[in-house]
Amino acid sequence: MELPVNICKRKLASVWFLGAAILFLLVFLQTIFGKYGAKDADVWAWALQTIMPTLTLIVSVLLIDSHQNPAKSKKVDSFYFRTSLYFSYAYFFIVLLTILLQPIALSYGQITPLELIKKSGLWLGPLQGLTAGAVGIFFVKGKS
Amino acid sequence: MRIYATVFIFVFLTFQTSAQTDEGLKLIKLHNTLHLTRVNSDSIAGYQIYVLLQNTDTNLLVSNINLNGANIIQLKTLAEFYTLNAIYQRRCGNSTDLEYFAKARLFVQHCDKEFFLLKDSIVLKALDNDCGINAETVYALDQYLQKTAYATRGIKIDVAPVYNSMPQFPFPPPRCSDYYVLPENFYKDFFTIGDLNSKLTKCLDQNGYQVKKYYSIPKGYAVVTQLEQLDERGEPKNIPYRWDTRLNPLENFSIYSYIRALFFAEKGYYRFLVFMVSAANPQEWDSKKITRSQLPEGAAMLDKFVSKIKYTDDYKVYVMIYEYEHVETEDAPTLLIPGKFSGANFMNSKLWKNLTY
Repeated sequence: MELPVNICKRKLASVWFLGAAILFLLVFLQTIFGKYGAKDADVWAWALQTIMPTLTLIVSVLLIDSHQNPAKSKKVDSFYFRTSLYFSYAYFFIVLLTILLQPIALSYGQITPLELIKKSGLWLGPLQGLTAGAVGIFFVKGKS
Repeated sequence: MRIYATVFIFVFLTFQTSAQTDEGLKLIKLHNTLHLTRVNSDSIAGYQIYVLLQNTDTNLLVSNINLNGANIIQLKTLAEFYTLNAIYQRRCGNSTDLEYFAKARLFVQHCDKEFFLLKDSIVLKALDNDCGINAETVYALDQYLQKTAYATRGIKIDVAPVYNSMPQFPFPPPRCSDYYVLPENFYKDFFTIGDLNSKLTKCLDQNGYQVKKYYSIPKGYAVVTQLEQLDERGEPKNIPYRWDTRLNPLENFSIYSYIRALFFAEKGYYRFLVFMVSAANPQEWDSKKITRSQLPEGAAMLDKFVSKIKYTDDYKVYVMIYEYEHVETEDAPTLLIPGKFSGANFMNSKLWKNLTY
């Protein structure tokens, strides 16, 4: 089954923009309220490293598309789209969970937020690789 | 070997000078005189004391009296003595009255190097159980030693007593968040500083401080409580969080507490209290900051001998509050100077009221 590439791209980009916005807002508020004290730069480095590579790819492709005359009839295999979409959902779910579980991790595991963020590389690293790969392939395959 | 030899010679000499029948009365009189004299408990620092007592009988038992009981031992273990040790002759055949008249002489051994034989004898009366020597005797010995040492040997004796089995609390005390002196109405009806400790521990027990550690300080002792966690009003948290030193932002889970913990750094407030019972007024503070875990493991109980030291008006109880703030983003807690919750807050606490009313 094939889907219109432009619609898929926008949908996927929306997921990434929304996810990035939520993550940005959470870390921003935490920084404002002094959650990380003097170590907030570490958290911002983590947050940007988590979303920026893939987000940059998406924005770049969208910008290139906007300067070209897209073939409206261009289709893409739904497998690529769904794979990218589900990986993106899962990725943001885990990224946001890493932030949202901080109080619980501290209360029950005595893991401080900064420790949790450092540890998150264990599970976010592989997932980020897979997600970025899936999204990259989708955007390349569906290049107008 | 030198020690053994000297002690054996001394035992031999005391055997040769058996007391006269009227000596008992004389001894009592002398003992009473000594007993009425105020005893400075801090008079024998750096010294180990060996006491030889001889009663009017020739039967001899050599015993180690370490104030923890009457352990009859052989003289050969003398070298193992670390705190106050006494060797005495016990009058046999009259154990029912538990009254011993003894003639004593003192040895002062300084740092295991020099061995003094103090020339005068002291006469003591031991009235307690098989120990054969009681606290009053020790006071008398203490007093005698101080006088004699100063008089005959010029030995300066002015620090903490070696017979105190409790570990040392840092002195001058490390800087604290705040400190108070218990007011006059606390000091009622104390005969010994052990009585003072009884009242103090009773108040602490009533306020949940079941675990206390005892330390030695100059001219007294220190009682240190467990590290406890305070709530945001400065009150001790409820059990089990009170003694839990970990940060726990969700101990009462609610949406509010969760959101608060998500966006704000969790802070924990902790404190431990040090009750310094001392006749030495701490006039200076060590600038070094300590945490509860840096203190050595204290004794579970007040030293038996120290508890028998006579209470005088010079003794005061200094309540030192060590208050800490631990923020989740920081590795170690910070000592708060001045404290965040001490001051009026502590003065209004139940503990303070128990202590002062």
